[in-house]
Amino acid sequence: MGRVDGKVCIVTGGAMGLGKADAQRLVGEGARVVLTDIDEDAGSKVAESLGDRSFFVGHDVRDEYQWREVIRLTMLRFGRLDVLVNNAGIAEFADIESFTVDGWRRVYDVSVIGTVLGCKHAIGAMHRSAGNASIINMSSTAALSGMGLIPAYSAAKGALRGLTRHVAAYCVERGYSIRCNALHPTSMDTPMVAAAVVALKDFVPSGQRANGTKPGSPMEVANAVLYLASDESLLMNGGAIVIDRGTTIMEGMAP
Amino acid sequence: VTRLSERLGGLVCIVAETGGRCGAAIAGKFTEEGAQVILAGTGSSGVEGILEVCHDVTSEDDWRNLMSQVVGRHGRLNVLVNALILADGSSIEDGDLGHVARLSAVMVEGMALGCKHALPAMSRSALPGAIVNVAPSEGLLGEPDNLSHAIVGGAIAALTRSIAIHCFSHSYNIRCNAVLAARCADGLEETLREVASAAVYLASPESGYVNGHSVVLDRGATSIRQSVGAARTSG
Repeated sequence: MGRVDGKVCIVTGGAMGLGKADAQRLVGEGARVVLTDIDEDAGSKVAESLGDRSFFVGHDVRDEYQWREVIRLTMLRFGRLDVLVNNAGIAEFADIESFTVDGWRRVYDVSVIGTVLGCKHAIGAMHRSAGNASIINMSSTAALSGMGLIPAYSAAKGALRGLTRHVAAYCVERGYSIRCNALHPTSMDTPMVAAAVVALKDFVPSGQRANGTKPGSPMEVANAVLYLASDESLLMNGGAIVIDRGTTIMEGMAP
Repeated sequence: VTRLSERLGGLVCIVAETGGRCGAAIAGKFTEEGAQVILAGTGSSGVEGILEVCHDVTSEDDWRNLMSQVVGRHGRLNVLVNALILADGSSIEDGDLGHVARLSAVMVEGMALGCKHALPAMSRSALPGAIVNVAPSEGLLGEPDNLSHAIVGGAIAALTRSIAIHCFSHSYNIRCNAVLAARCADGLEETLREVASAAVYLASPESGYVNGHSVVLDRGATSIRQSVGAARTSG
């Protein structure tokens, strides 16, 4: 018996990193997963490796038409929708005195507009599926403690915390059986974080450590996604789980 | 024999309780997940297949004895769950503010004593340790006639963070988190089941990066302004 037997999930940004781990964990516990990503080659390979319990859709989360297609294909192939993991996100380094509006919008649109559109189009399909549905928004510890070089990312991840409370309230007001919660992971061992570490070398004076913390396994996040996707967390709504080894409650102490 | 599907396989767990059904529900779920459970409290929960011992959580001697018994018998301690729940009904205008003191003595001091004596036992084990504190979510959001739960709930969330920081600063491989549940003393089946599920997640290695935090089980009451009434009364 899997912990999410029979549930149908959509995971955005599933080609690598956290989204890939989420999809693997959910399929491993009995779910069927629609994997979406802008990277079609990598995304298709992940879906193939998961067998017939998963398929891939090329998907730019900023595009509303493509969201309609993702939902339509999900209902067509799997017949229902129970879980949406709004995982797609990007980070770019800049500082608040020199960022560009174009750069800001790239980060913000993928994280925030992508997640808003996902909620907008998933809620109806989830309600029609008449199960215990769960929306999981991938925020970050960047929403909880300030970091100097990622203004758009910090703002976008903070926006997701507020949006999560809003969607939870909306669904309660409508009487929908759809919960919405957020996750706040610290840096995990993903291609995005690895690229960020390389990019940071341009910003941080040599010899100064940008971040001495060894990134954790993406499975740490996937385990929390599984808990929130399952009916084990039915009483959790509008809430958050922080996956940070405690760093946000002991700033200045943790390595 | 440890099955792969067992999320707490091979872990020695103390579940401390003070009556009600919360501790028994957690002990039952932990046993299903492969843990070796010692249910310490009233000694009368009657859950089959679980070792029960009579234990006064306000007595430091009892905690000392419990730890030496468990370590003597099982060779280690991996998890402590404090499910020290007493019913509330107090308000700020009550003549008897002693209720706050009585609940604090059991739910907060009892919990602190449990952690104090569990840490040496856990830190000697080669496996990572986990402490899970179950407390009322009313420490986050007020409710009428729940003064004591508001006070102890707030204290337990702070105590949980403090223990996490203590363990980090002493290089113990021990995490400490809380499950904050609405109306946790009412004994509703759904609440018992979901508190037990959250406790499994926080006790297991699955939550290895979650430390010093709270999982809030309140149907959204702390996050939803317009619908607080609906969120609290539904189900």
